[in-house]
Amino acid sequence: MATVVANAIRRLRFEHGEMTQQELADKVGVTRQTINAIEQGKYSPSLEAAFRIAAVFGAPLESVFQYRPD
Amino acid sequence: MSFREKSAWVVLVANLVVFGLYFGALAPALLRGAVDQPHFIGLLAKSVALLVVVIVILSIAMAIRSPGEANAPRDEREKLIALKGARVAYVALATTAVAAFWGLIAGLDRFLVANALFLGLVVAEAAQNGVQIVHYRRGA
Repeated sequence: MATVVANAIRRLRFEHGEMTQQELADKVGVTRQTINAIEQGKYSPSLEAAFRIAAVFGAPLESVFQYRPD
Repeated sequence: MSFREKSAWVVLVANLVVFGLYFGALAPALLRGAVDQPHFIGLLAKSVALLVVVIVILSIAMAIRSPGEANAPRDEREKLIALKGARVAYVALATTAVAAFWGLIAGLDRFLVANALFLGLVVAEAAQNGVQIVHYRRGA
């Protein structure tokens, strides 16, 4: 089931030297499967993990994650 | 498939096969009303030992193939999935415990109640691993 939190992780990975999910996972401190689940909108990360992901890309949180209740 | 999901599959399948064989042997004896209790107590002890050995060997084999994942602590999603599994297992185990309590009060045979309790434990463990696998498959 998809969450109401959309994200731009796939685009940001592409823009950061085609970073792999595993590379992002290692930097964030989660498994590759968790990054995949977040990227596909199947899992909403904790606030801390969301900040970590945004920090990896050097981007503000709201440019990485968007709340879309509809 | 992640290391944790593989582990859940190993425990689920090993649990169902080993105790499926045990209860598959016990059930006909119970229905006949001719249970050799010392035999089945020994069989249960052997089944538990076999399960432990199988899980340990398979876990070591998986850890050798994926040492990084095996040594890494659970991340937040894996912890959440583990909790969802544990919640279902608790319901299964609590239900069995209450049923066993009333079974003893009603005067049912202790050997029967003890095995019902153990079956509840097996079902709870299977439910826990099954729920975890479903959530790993779904993503969370």
